[in-house]
Amino acid sequence: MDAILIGLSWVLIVAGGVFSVLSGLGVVRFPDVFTRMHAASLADTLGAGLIILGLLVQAGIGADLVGIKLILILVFLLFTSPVVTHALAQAALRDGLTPWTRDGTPTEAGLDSTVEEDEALAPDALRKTSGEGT
Amino acid sequence: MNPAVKHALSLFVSLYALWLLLSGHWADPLLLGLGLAAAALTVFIAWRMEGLDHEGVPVSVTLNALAYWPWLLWQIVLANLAVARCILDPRRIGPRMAWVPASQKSDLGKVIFANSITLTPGTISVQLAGGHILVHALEGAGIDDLRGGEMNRRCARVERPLAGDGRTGGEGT
Repeated sequence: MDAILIGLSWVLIVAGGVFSVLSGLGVVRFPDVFTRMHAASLADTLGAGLIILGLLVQAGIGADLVGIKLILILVFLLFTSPVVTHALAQAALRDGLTPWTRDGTPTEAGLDSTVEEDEALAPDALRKTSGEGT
Repeated sequence: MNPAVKHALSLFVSLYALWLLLSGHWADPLLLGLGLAAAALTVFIAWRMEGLDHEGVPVSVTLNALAYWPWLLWQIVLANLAVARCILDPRRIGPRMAWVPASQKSDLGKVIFANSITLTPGTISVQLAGGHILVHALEGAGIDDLRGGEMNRRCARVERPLAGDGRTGGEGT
């Protein structure tokens, strides 16, 4: 029984490691900041998730409640990482970075990739916010 | 019950449950009392900061989210595999940025939807305005999936008040 659990936890931890390595590989391989963020989110979700799950299998809930703490780490990670990714993506766009596309033409919502231009293409409700200074 | 009291009580109960789970000291009355005091102090500070509202303490959303999370986790696993395939063969990627409708009524519901989009690898919410979310997708299919609207509908369901609350007139948000 113990051997099975330890084997399972190894499989999970190694799988999490594989996703983390893939994530790093993607950050190197992809062409621009936006696509690289997609690669980085691999380590945030399945990378961290599988490693913590693997540790959870080994630790169990435990007398000192290690399992609870591991679950809380994962929950907080899943709550905070999208906020950071969103802030980073918006900062990149506001700073005037043009999202990379395959044929080099702008994507439909990012003509010049400035926020103001994006809003010009969006519904009227957006225009209000474009007045604020950046 | 007065909504403010309800929010304060549910925040207090969940804070104390968190304290119990983290500390593991369930027998020592002194420590249990100190935990109670810490939870009460936190609720007091939250009240002073006027954070005790439906956004700071989203009771009904928390319960609805329990039904939403398993589906979201499965979507995250699927999206991880799709992005992993793109990393192994970068020729597959075709990044695209487009506006996606978000039909949630409350700010909190929109944040849940936007965060779900970002949490799923392959799509990032870049901006949120006027009932639409600007999404950057690694593959064009990501945008089409979001426009299909299943995640949108499920997030709209999360922000709805619980069935019991609805019949008694809701929380008055």
